[in-house]
Amino acid sequence: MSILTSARPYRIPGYLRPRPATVLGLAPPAWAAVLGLAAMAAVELASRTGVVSKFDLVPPSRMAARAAGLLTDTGFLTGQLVPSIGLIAATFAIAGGLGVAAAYLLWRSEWCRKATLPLLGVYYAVPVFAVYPILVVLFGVGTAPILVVSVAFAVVVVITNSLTGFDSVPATVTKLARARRLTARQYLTKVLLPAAVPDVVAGLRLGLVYSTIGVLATEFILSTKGLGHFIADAYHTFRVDDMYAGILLICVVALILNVTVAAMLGRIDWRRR
Amino acid sequence: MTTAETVVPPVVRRPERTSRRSRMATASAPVALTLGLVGLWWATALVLDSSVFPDPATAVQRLLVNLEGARFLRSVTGTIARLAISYSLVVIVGAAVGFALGLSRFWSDAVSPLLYAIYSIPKVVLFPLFLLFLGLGATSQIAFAFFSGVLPMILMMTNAAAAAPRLPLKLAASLRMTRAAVIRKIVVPNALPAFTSALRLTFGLTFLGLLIVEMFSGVSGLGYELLRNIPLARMGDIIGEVILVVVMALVPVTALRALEGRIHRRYSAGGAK
Amino acid sequence: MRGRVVSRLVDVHDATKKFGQVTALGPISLTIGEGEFVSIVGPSGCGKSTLLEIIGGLQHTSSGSVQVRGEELTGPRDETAIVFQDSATLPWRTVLDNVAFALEARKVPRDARRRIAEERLATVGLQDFADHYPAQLSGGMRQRVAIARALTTDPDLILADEPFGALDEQTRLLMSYELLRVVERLACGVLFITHSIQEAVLLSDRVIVMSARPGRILDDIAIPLPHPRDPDVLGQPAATEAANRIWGLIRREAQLAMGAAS
Repeated sequence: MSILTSARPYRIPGYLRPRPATVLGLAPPAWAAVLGLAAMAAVELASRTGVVSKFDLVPPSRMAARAAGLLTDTGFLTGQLVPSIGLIAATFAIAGGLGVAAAYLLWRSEWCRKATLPLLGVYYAVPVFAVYPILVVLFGVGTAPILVVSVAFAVVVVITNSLTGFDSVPATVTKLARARRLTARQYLTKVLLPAAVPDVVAGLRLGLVYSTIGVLATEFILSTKGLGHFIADAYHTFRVDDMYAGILLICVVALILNVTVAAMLGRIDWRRR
Repeated sequence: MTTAETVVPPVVRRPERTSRRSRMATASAPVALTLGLVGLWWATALVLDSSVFPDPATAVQRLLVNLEGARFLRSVTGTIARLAISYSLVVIVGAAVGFALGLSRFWSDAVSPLLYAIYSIPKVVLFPLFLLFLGLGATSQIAFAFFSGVLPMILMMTNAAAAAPRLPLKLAASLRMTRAAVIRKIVVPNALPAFTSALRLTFGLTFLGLLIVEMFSGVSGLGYELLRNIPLARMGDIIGEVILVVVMALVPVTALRALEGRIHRRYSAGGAK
Repeated sequence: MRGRVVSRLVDVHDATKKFGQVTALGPISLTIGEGEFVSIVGPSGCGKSTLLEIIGGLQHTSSGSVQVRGEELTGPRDETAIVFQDSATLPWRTVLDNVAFALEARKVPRDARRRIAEERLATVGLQDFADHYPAQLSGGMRQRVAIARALTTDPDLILADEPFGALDEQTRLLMSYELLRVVERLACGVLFITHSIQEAVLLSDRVIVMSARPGRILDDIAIPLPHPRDPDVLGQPAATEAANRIWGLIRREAQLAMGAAS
């Protein structure tokens, strides 16, 4: 009977071993940062040294500089940035409210649920933006069609997630509520909505992402103002600097919106406490 | 106790009664809703001026007339071809990359944040980059549609590969199975249900991406046709094309859903009842 | 034949297991003789499963040695079979293919695999369910599938980690009688982790009682009941005495653990 040292070659298979804490001394988050920075550095180098034509690729440093410049330009702010953010906010509010309400309706009525659920299941398979031309012909190029298409795009993800949330009330809790003879309204406010909050929050976060995509995509395709339009216009008039700056700004705006809304919603999301 | 409000709605999640009656109700409800919506459309068209808002019959008629035209037909087949190419690439490349990434817990933890960050950017605003680097033709459109679909595919397959259940892995280790055998016999079959879901979801995203960029910069294709008709205010044509788009989306997606259902029943632990 | 211990099968000497700075298990020294049925009972978290995985070669010790048949353990052994708590059946394979899984890993040819798998299925009484899927079976039946799978490789050592833990009380009882029937006919050594003292006394030649974390051996109690056994042996005084002794030790450990928590 020998006492082992830990240097013995154990043949435990690799797929069972826990993942290593570091590779080359770095943990995964550090690697994410390294890879991200390396990509940006590669782009910077490629554009500065002329490997890629200056008319196609702009150094990230110049993108950032131009973006900062745009932010101080009141014309840009009032003409493009604020309208877009406003539209995104409006879309999010409407899609969120409508979505949760519609989910409640589906949850209450078994027939509505049966009729609608298959359609909701295939909803995102169909390119919703195909109806944009219809709305433009009817209402002209303006805020209304963009709002309608974006809300239509974002609302379904809110509905499906909220419905999951309403369904997630444990059966025992429902029985308790009936034993205590809660009215429908009390049940809604005291049991259903609180129970559904985590899924509703998940749906709202996705709804924000879809609202952003919807607004920017429609502005991009056909509009007279807004961030999406700004980028399309910059592309068409060969203002490459502006184009990249606009893209950078959109990424930043999207990130800020997501983080802010996530933080606000996170306060009521009891699953994440 | 308040007055007329009803008591808590009966517990909604009753066990599924698979009586003939309820099964027929489940199948017929969405059909009834669809027919109702079409009926509503028809009624609205009759009330409004039919040139501004055509009824379904006119739309279908316009579509059939268009399909006889060479240019339109070329657009349709062009879109179908581009969709087929980009979707095939999404499936092959996306699934391979995602699955390989998911096998390494370390690298999937390191790379996932970057992928999620790119995923949350409204991708459509990146399209001008594709145009700059790949030109105006089909290549940039296919590339963008590929880009729209491949990212969610990678993310979903990474999760699927990483989610291999632990006990079967321990069993395999106790049997001294090689890594390759474990991947073949345990990880791949376990990932199959998620793969079929990803197939369905990414189809919609790929088609949507393709349509948007055809609307923006196409010289041929369904998106181009849609946008082209806006200044001409040919509502009948537009709606007819939208019907075509819906059909083009629904046929594959219905098939993919059927596949998904079959695989989920056979492969997931909730299994064959 | 059961009951006569011929030689040492498993020899664990001063094994410990540390996770970081925390000692989760040990030092543990125990032996399992060939053909011996040994149960381990102990409070939750005392490291029973870790010990089983160590003996199964799925984890290595932080210090101490494990020998099986006189050889140092360097990884999983072909002749050891493990039965897990949750049957670890693959839902996309039929019951027969699940039972044949172990043989498939050994690259046994298809016909031989089928034949052996069918025989073992019959041993556990599930021969009519060969073409069913695991999801169509109850929990108890799935565990029988897992046991049948363990038997296909003719192991000399079976390690069972609370195989009946997920089952309800009545099914557990029936399953332990089933297991008794199967095991009485085999000559392999068995290490059996359980929470049920009744199961332990019914099935085992020895019962090892472990303390709370860090798990050490409190006592090693021989069960002098005759072989072959049947469920009636539980009525014998020797059984009651052993059960009381085990319960006394465990109750003290549980009280200590609760006292420590409050």
